[in-house]
Amino acid sequence: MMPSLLFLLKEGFVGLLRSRGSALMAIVTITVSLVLIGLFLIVTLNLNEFAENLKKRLEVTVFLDDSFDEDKTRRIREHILALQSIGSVDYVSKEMAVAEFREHSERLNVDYLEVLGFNPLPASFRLHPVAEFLSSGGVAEIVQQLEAIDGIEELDIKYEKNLLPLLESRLQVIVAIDIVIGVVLCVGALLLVSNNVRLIILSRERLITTMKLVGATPMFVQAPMFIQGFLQGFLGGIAAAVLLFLLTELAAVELPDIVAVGAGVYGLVVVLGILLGFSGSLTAVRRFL
Amino acid sequence: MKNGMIKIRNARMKYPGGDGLDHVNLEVAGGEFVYLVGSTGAGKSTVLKLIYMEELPDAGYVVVDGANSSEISRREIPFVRRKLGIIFQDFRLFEDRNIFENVAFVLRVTGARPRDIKKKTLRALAEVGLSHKSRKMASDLSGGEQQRAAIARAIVNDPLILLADEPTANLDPKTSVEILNILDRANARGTAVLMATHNYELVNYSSKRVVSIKNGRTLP
Ligand SMILES: Nc1ncnc2c1ncn2[C@@H]1O[C@H](COP(=O)(O)OP(=O)(O)OP(=O)(O)O)[C@@H](O)[C@H]1O
Ligand SMILES: [Mg+2]
Repeated sequence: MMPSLLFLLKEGFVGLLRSRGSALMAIVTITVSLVLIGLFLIVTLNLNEFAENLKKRLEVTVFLDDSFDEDKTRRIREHILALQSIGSVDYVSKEMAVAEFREHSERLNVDYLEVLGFNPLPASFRLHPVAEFLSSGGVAEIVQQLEAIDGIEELDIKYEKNLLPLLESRLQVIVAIDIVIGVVLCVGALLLVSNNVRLIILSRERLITTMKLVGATPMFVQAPMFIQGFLQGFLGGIAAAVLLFLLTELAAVELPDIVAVGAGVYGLVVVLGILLGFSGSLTAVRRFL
Repeated sequence: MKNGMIKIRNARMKYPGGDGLDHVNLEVAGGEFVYLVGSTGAGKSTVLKLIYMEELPDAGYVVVDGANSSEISRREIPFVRRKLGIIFQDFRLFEDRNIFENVAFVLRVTGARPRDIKKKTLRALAEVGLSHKSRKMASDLSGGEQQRAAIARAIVNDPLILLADEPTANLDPKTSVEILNILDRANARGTAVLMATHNYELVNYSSKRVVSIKNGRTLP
């Protein structure tokens, strides 16, 4: 079987060279589609990274009643730390709360606290959830867990309620747009590859019939077509990966903060190219051979 | 001699236009040399198509070395064809490769080793006297040379049966004799030969068995 494999590979290469005009067009189509898909992917990854950073800043604050003594405060802290969902806990005393307040209201001339004559700000714990719980569902779960702790009431728990749902819905929209654009581009590229292989098949119809008449199996005449589709996709994928690399290098000069794209994106682009080329020739072979 | 290497029984095969075969009976034993003679349009090429199973009969059946047209599956047909050597009336050479690769193709589909492919291909080309043209493309050969290339491709894998469709048509008498000699030598090596021809003269002077076909019917 090995010698035939070499022969079929050669047939595939030679066939591609023979139809280089239309093959080049198919390859360019694949390249352009994959570059666009890759760019959308890179933008999405960057937005996602940005969103992840925003999420990490989310704090859940638990206010402590002024009546709690040191012992009770310590017990609540232990309960909180025992939760799997919480990464770290900072204690903010009444005094620290005042200091923070003063810092934030520096520009005001009147010191309200001085006027008031007592410290109305409660002590609090600031909780930093672990990454897996940084979603609207995760935070809701944390709130439930906190409410179960003796000494914490629903009203004592505060966090930026809108942040997570907003980020999540925006990301969903962006991912949906990515998918729609990706599918449209892939279908377009697939049709072009398929059409290219169809033209090769039609121009070689008599040749292919003769091959079968002298004992070639269907697989034997189809294999070169698959190899051609594969090569078109592979070359398109490689070209797209190189272009994407150059584009991100260029963008990095202007936007130093841009997230470096991992090798994964380039690999994905090449694999996608191969899949496109292969399935393009598969549809053509299925219909015309 | 093995009987019934080819066996066609009461076969009927109609093309969409209504032409074709009405009633064909034909038997070729292993190692035999048989002429299939008939005027143009009688159905000779169609009989050969039944044997290499490009067409299947509408009625009756065809058996080729034990493979019966009424039972065979599509997947088995390539393997039946590998037992045959076919010299097509219009040659059907591959226009996209040279003569060596035209002949070698028959061996390549079988997955033969490159060394054997080279040896057998060179031998077949020598047999038909085309060794010096092996690197030429088919379209660069004369009609007689193309005919010989087609024969080389048909005999390269030492087929059980050689199907020759008008292999001497349009050739001068000297070349025709050369071609008949090539077929005789293949026959002497044990290959059964079925040669379609409209050349009654040739057939009348030959001592070989003759089957006549007229208007899609073989004569008893
Ligand atoms: N593919 C086809 N479609 C429709 N009709 C066909 C086809 N091939 C052959 N025929 C018809 O079938 C009949 C037999 O044709 P066939 O080619 O078998 O004749 P033949 O004996 O080989 O003739 P020749 O000596 O001219 O080669 C003819 O009437 C021909 O017109
Ligand atoms: Mg004919």
